[in-house]
Amino acid sequence: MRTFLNRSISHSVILILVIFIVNDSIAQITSEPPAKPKTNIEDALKYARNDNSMPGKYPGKVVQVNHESCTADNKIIYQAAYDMVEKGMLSLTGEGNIKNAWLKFVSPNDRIGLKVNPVAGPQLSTSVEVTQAIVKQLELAGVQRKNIIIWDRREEQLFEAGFNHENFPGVKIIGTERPENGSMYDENGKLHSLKMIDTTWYYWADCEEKYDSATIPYMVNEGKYSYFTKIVTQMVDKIINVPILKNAGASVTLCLKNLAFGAVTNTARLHKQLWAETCAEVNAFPPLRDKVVLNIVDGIKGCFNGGPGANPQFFCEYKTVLVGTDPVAVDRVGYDIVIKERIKRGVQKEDNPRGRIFMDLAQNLNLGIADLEKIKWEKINLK
Amino acid sequence: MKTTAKVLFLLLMVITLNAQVKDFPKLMEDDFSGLKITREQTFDGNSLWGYINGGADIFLEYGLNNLLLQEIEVNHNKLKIEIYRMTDPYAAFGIYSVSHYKCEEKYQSLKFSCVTQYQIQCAIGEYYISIINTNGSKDEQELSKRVFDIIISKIHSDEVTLPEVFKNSLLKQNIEQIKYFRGILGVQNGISEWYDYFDKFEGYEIFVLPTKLSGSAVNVAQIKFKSSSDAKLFLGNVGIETGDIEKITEKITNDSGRFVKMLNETTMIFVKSYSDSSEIKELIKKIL
Repeated sequence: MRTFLNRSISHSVILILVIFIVNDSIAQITSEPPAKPKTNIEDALKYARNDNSMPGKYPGKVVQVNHESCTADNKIIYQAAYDMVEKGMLSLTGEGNIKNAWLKFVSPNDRIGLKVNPVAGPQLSTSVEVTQAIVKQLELAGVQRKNIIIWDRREEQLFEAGFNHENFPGVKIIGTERPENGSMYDENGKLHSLKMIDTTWYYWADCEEKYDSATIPYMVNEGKYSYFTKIVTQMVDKIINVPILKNAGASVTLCLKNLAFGAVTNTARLHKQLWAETCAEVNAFPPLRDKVVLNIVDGIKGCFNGGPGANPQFFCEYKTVLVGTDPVAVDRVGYDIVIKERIKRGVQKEDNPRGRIFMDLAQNLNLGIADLEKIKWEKINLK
Repeated sequence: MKTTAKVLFLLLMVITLNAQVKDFPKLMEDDFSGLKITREQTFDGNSLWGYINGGADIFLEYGLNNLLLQEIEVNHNKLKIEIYRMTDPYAAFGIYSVSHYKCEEKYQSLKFSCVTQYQIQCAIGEYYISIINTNGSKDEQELSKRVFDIIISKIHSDEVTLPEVFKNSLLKQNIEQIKYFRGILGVQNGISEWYDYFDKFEGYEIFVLPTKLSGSAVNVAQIKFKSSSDAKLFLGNVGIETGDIEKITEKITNDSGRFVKMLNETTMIFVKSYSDSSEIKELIKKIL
């Protein structure tokens, strides 16, 4: 019996080794990349869409407002930023009055979340000026400051980028990853951020990453689940997405990326293997799909290379603002602007369709239009 | 016994980590009067995600040991100093190579350095250093140089050696633009038009120089794959018929603007030309 067992074990070990070696050899010969990890995107698709669902009221429509004099001495001029947002809203909606334009998307009693991108510090984040302009125009539409939340994942980055109570009196500023009384942990050693996540909404993906003690406060949890923040599932009724115009390698990090990677925990595991899928699929879940009513890309300052990090050599002034309800179409237009800038500056020779995969995936999920020829791209120049 | 071993191991880890941070060529408040360090933080391994989120991936691809971040203030002038200790000098050089653009000058005799109005960067030994000022003023630029001097005086490390092919006189003109990659993020950041060439491979090393020969754009690269089968597959992917890999060793092949010379079974010089002119072909052959 023992001999039989020993033989069986030996044979099993040999079989496993053979399989391993053969697999390895096949992998080496074909050098095929491993299959993409599975995700729970099917769960998202089970939920019925509603009138607010992406791509929103104006599928495929993008208004680009340029303003040659919107900066001076490396600073953004508030009034110019205000005018750009206003003109974009009027053109998008066809309204003659800014209040009516905003009321197409929000109601005075709505709790509005402004999703900014503060991750690259004060020099390369959504600008305070564009965000202030949006807050001001929301007020004109009857939304009270106490019902406006400026949010992202990391609260400390929001403050570093200028989203503080001095610049935004009366507005709530909050991050999913946040300290209380100067510490990320409570007296029982639990992350305060755990209170900020909604475990009933999650993006599951069959990949994971181990985080050390310094990293976990910024990821909130390990494992195969990325939980949605309560900011999107419970604290706001509508979301206005306000990313900054910047590259991510030979692609862009704009509307879809800002929302997807900003709304869930445990993101580092997703960057390497599922960047494009995450950008598209997380947005297909109702807390984002049905709440994001507008996308306003702050392209006054941005970067053409080095993104998403902040490398001053690659900063540039696009002097533009993009407005649309369709996050895919807005991303596609932003992509076109960034890639042209990269080619003009000699950091890229030609467009590579790989940079557009996340938009194609989003289009397949009916979140918007990725085909440039089908996008109605309206350009306005202000002076 | 097991507990003792664990305690000893932890003790060793703590000592090692402390030594690593202590050994950092960092700025000290007594380096000059009026210097105030307003923030100092160390990030190691994947904790870099906590600092720069998605921007961390490329550092991890090259190989990062740890990062020391210092923010300083001197007479209302503010600087952000990032000292990345990479796993080896080539990793530091690689990050530097994809991070600099249109440098106004080199920093003194430092081979891999780049000075612009808002930033000084360099790769020196296993360190990639970036000093960013807030307003680009002359005062802050001068302060950056003063701080940079102090930091690099504390580093005594070897620099990288570029492959022999890049010593060719035809390539001298643009040698500052040479880039080094170890993975697809580097390729995507440094020479995105080659993304499709490399996305199915891993474990490779690429030096590439985007340059011009007689006015025409060419990319000259030395590529080392982890295996001869990968090298062969690559050649097939870029449209160069190989037959047996051994047979093209030490041979030059030219196919549709793509030139290759095998140095051994895994390493090759690969040139992509964007011109069909016979003059360019002759120049490329001189490089090979």
